[in-house]
Amino acid sequence: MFSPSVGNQLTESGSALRYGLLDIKPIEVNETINRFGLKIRRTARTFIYERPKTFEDYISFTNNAIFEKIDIPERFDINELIKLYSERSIKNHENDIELKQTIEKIKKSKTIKRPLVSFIQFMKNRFESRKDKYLEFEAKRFLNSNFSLSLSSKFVIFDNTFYDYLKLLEKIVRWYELRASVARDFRMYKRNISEMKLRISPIIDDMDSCFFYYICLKRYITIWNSKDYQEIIDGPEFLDINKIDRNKFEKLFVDFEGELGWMRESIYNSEPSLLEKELNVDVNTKRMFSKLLMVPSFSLRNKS
Amino acid sequence: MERNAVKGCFLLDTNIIISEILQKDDIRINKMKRDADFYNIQSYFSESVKRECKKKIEDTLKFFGEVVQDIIKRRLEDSKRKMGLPLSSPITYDDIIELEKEYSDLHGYILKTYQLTQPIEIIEEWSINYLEDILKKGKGISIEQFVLELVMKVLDVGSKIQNPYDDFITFERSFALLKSGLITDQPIIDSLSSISTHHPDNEHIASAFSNQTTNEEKTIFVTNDYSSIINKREEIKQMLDITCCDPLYAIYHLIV
Repeated sequence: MFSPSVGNQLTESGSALRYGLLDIKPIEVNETINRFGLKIRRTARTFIYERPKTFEDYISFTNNAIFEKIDIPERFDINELIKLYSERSIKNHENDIELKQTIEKIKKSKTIKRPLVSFIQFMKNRFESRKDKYLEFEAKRFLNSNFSLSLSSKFVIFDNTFYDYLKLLEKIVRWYELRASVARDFRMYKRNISEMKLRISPIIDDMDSCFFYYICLKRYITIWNSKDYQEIIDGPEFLDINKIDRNKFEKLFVDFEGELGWMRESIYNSEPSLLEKELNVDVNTKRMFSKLLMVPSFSLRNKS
Repeated sequence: MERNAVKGCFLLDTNIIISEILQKDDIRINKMKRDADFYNIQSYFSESVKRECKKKIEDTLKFFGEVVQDIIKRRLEDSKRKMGLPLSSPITYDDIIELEKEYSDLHGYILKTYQLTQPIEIIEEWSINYLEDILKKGKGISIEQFVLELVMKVLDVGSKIQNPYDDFITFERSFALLKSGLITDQPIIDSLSSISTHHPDNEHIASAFSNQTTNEEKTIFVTNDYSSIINKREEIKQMLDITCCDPLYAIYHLIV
């Protein structure tokens, strides 16, 4: 019924950002190039990956943490679930040729003028091109459930926030990478890259934390609505609120909402211009929604 | 009127803030903002108003979702079944007449139970107009696609409203600030309930009373809710010495 959840695609994107932007170390490479028949010796500045951490390590670590946080029905085994989700993420990652090629380009960044900005732009453009699909996905999920539409709305707010997060990272990375590119020596170059990492590291940490609670909530709903492992992979036909423990759901929702609020504050305090105040939406829908918001609250609670 | 002859503050009701979040460009609210700016009067909103704004957006989304699922989708599917047609077949004018019957029955039921028909009517008008626009273009649309489009449109508005909401309420970047720490007394809330002031309006007015007494600052409760608040302004004034008024006239109540 459901295509792979947006959440899973985002987890991989989130990890890729950490992998692509933070786990890098600036280095100098001496090389000889042939230009107009002359051999010229030049020094190129590039990056290597600092830690031997793999994408698989990240995924496994995240899945372990998620299943420490959420309760699962007796019909499932926790280790099997960790394995299932990890394998699925790794498979999705392996099939993501576009992302792999972009990361490869960073590794061979001597040929690209602004490798880090190119990478973040790739992530942002890709997300932008999929935003409508994510909205449609949430709408479909709502229509095949008996959950409140306000829950789906929170997930869409998360998607919109994630998009602004990518825009913020792009702006920061662009600034530091430009400074690094005109640095007079390698020491200054390294310093600029370190400063960039210092600046974006807490933002990526905040988003990772927000991701974590987003995934916990989505996974909790999916698992309790699935009768077997195959249904988890395919996605349940219908999401029934009566199949979940309301108190535990409420707790996960409050955690997620809190983290989302924190993330939004972090982004819009860093860059207030990203908070688009104009409501660029369908005019008739806005008018209808505005009218509904202005009716007395009690009249919305008494639908027959 | 001398600038220093005006003293006190405005405490805003939820509907004033919602109107600002929706960028409705309300003439009455705009005048109040200009007055506040000219006479250097600070506008505030209470914790209870902040809570109600959030809840109102959630309740509106929930209500809309229920109407789409339980009325529009269900009745259109019933219509197809009645006519022996597959659910995937395009919506026709006969299906709209079935929807009309559903809405008509619902109006009757709501009126019998002394509730407001307005929220249902708002969704009814919008959804039928939207469907008509599609049918006029000669495009066929299935029930599944129609309800999906309705939900997507509302999800788009419902999620994007979070930005002006945060701008106004979370980051307090607009003309009004959050007044936190106002302690509302239960006996005050109860006394307001005794004159049929709905919850949480009674809590908002009790916050205005708390600000006026604790901070010794004349506090005008600004609202455009005539049915539940302004129509009871005399009783509220007598009971708590709090003035509740329309934004158009708010400034005149602060003349010393």
